[in-house]
Amino acid sequence: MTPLLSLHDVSKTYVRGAYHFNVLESVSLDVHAGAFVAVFGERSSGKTTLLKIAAGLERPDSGSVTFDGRDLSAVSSRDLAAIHRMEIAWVDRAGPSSDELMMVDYIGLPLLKSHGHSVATRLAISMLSRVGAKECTSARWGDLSDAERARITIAHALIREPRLLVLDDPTAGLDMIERDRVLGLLRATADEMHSGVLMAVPDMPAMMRSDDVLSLSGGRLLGPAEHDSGEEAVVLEFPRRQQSG
Amino acid sequence: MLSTKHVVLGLLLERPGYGYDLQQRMDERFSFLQLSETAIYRLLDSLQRDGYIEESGRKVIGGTRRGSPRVTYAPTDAGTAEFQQWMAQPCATAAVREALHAKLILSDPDDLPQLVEQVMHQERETLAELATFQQPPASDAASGEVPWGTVAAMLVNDAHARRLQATISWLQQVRTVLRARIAEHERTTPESPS
Repeated sequence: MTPLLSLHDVSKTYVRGAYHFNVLESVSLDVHAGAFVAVFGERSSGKTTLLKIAAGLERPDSGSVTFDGRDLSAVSSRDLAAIHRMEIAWVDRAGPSSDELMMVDYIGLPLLKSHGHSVATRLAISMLSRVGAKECTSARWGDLSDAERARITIAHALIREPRLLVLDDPTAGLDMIERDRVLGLLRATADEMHSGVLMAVPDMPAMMRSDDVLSLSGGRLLGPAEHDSGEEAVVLEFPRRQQSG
Repeated sequence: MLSTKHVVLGLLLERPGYGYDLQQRMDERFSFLQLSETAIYRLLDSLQRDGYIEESGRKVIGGTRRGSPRVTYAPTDAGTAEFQQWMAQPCATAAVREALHAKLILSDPDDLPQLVEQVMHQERETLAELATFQQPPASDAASGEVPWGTVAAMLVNDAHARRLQATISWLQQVRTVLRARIAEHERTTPESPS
């Protein structure tokens, strides 16, 4: 089955004066429709860069990013904007640009132009209920707890029914129960909406509802060992050691 | 499991030694193993029986009881090969830290690329272990009290995942440091003429 999103041999280097920092080195990754993929990495491991490249918000230095068969580095900026509007949802905790906006309006905002105010509001209320944040309908962003903000940002993304959801540390600051509820929402997004979900987290407990778990460090992305494939134990040749003394 | 026999073998590869000398070196570099001198003599006997070490000389030490010289040991070719095979063998996940501690301490610059491979192998194994955990059915997103049985299962899974995370975090750090050291070594070591 062709993956919904495919990163192939992606590399990215940031240059700060004489210092070259290889954030990503030959990273490859697939996300299929209906799959929930989680990447573990410590702070500054390159998680956000990986996600931004996957979402087409940043370009790699080399390698390719393909979304639904389209090379994201080759599409026009207009088409890319359309993809971001309708197909790939980037989820972070930035919230609305205005703190005056009620959450029902913030969530309905992406549908306002296409559906009109009353339909957008109705769908927004339904989405708030779906993510367990009905009580936030009239609240402002500044009034919300971390848990409510996590649900609201997901609702804001899901209202467009995106084909791919890209999330940067969606469970930051949540207790275990709230974290699991948010992860349950993402699991349901993959299972019921058949969307692809790509998430990066600095906590491995947050990865336990995902289909694929990956580890990112020093620019390299690793996947789990596959024991069913009959992989042989690794035995490596060593150069002969010189005895001293 | 961490093989203390291979640690002794590695120390003898660095420099031949006798029992007390090895215990001093053990205390200095492998204090976490807490091996007594008697235990080290047993390991030396066992290594000699296996043909991995042999007597390389006798050394008279000032203050030695009865003034008898100490027997020093050095690895045989078979011992060298055994040590190299151990260094290249992936570590069992349960003892990954201890075994890699020993290998890191006994490694030289030529060993680092193989150690990077091993660290990556261990990261993959640890990720595979995480993937085996099944979280109980997701809590209802529309809030409400989560049944205690579900909470208890989540707490246990959380503990497992955090233990694995500690292992992976350390392995990631080892991998990054080793790769930086390899790159540095390649930059500063002139290429040998082919």
